[in-house]
Amino acid sequence: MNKLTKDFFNDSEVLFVGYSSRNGAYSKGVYQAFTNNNLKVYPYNTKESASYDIKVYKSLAALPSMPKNAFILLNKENTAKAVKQLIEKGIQKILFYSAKNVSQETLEECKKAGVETAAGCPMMIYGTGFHKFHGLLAGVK
Amino acid sequence: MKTFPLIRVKWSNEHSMAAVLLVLVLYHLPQWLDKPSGILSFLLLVAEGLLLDLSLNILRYHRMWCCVSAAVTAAMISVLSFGVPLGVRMLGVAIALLVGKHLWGGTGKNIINPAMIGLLFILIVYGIPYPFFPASFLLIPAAVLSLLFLKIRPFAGIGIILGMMSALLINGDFTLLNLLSYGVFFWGGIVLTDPVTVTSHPVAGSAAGFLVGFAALLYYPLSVSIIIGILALNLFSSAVESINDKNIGMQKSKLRIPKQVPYLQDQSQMVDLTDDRLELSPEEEIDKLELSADEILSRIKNNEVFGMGGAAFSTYQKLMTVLTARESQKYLLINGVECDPGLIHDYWLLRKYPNEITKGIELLCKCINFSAVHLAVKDLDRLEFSNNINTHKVLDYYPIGAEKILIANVLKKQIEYNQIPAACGILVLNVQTIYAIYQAVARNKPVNTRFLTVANLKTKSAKVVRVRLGMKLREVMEAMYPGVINVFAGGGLMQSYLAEEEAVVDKNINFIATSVFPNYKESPQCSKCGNCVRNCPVGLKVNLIADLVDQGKLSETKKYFAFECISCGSCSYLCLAGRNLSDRVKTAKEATK
Repeated sequence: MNKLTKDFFNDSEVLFVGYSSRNGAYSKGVYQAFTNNNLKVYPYNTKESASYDIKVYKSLAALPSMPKNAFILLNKENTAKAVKQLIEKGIQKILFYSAKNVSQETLEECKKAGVETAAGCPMMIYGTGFHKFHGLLAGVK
Repeated sequence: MKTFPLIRVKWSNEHSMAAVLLVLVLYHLPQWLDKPSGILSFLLLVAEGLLLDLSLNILRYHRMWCCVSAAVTAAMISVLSFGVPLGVRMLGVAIALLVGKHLWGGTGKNIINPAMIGLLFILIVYGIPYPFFPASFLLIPAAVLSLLFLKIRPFAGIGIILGMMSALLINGDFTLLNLLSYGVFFWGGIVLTDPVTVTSHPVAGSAAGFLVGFAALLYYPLSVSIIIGILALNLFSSAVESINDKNIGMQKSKLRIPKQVPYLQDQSQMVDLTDDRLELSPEEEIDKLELSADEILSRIKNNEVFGMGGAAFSTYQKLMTVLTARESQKYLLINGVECDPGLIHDYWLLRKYPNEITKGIELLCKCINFSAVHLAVKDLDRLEFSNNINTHKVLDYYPIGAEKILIANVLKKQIEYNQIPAACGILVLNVQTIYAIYQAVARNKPVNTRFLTVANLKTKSAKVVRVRLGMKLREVMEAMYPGVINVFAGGGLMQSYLAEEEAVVDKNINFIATSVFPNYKESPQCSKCGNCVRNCPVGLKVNLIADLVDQGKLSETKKYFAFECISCGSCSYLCLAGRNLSDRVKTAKEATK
């Protein structure tokens, strides 16, 4: 897994896997930070019952186009399932919220499929104020 | 769909608390000059307050919320208990935050001033020397700056200042040094301006403040008198606020929101995205058409003219309501105010098509015998209308263009919340609706195009664009500002929503924009600053309604008249806690209709 850098995402679109109403404030914050930085975001959550105030895709098939980059905000178990799906769909880069949320096997799977990976909070790059300071402390360049 | 203003005030609770903290630091100056080790004690007390509050907030909200108020509590205890052993003071800060604040539910929910609880504890276990401050002219800058906070809650603060001054006068102790050492401006400016624990009621606040100040200094000035007095005033304030929960009527304050985009100076700068022509052919010229009132009404009805100010209500139905109203005096009021800070197309229409708008007015006058026709605008510059139309320049505040507010300003008539202006014989139509009437009657074809404002708030630019109803919003935006990501739409900048990919221009849309997301941090820590209530055009107790909505008690919002909300968005724009209040009130309104 690579260290998170400012140019990790190399496309204008991002798939946000695990956009969650349970963790609404953070999810919305990341969504807004991405879009404020001119990244088109496709929030994705398979839970039918979740309620959101923005359009959240419930299946990858429903996406107008499949982005090359993804940010995953899921627990370890669900991350493993999501990564399998994304590899099938030809994803090129995956940013995990935390290294603790991804298993070694999943990382191996990504490596075999040629998917570039990194871990870290995207707010360190796309957020403002305190988040930028966090990025500075974490050495995100 | 959540609606919200795309702009917000720059101030927040954190800013105002940081300003209070700065003044409290200045109050320490004479003490620190006398005993420099006091700086270290101050820093330790503030650090303790911050850490304790942060931990409790994380436990309560699972998020790191601002704790500047805890630093203020610690700083207040620090300055008022100088000379007391550090351990006791630290215990005082802990008691203040635990018992005075978090026991009640956290910031904004306490009914008593936390610092006073901490001080009462210190007073009981150790005692506090009095007066609190050394007699020093070095306190002058802090005292002067304290007075600035009277803007937040003026009445109790002014009351205590006058009460203390009166007591000092009676005792013959009225000197500048006494005013400073007894902390007259400190209590008035810093302590009794706390919006959470002090009533905003003018009579109750000023009377209670006066009594507390007067009693504290008249006979035996003691630290216990003032601390107990302030706590009693807090309890009294809570009682006053709980019975003062009625709708308070139309707003008195005038909220000014500057235009976020410039008006078009070149009148030819409209972008037409339709394939429809604007100019009439010779056979369509209004002057050549000899139409009866019934024929005009029939064309308005059949061509589905609708209110283009955002309501999208059927213009024919509105006309019929005015026509059948029993009022002897009927009025036509043309709304050209365009008070939303993001809209520019009505301004442009009034200057580009004065003849067409005048002819539209004449058509309406053929149908209804109006006593007078009024045109309300904010700017008279380059307006060319005949003397038959009474042109009014209205005050520039938001939301002056709201129907009932405009009627009150121009016609000096009050329309009650349960009355409809049209039923009172007052026809209020937006400028573009008049233009649409002219086009619909002359052409006799359905209204399927409209003008709107398309803006890029990042670059502060905007264009007037003519679109066809049903066009994709993204298509419109791509034509004006290619490559942008966020597309917002709505009745105006103050009532926007994030547009979905496939969303189309409908009758309610006046405004399409790209912008960064406004920073609604949605802090649960309402500081009861009162901005939302003071600036609500219909005088709603917005904070109480929003709290009930957050608690899921929608039916209870009826008692606060949530259904009167006009969705202007002022409360969200002004909220210092960064809460999208207008969307909450909208939810309550829909639930209690």
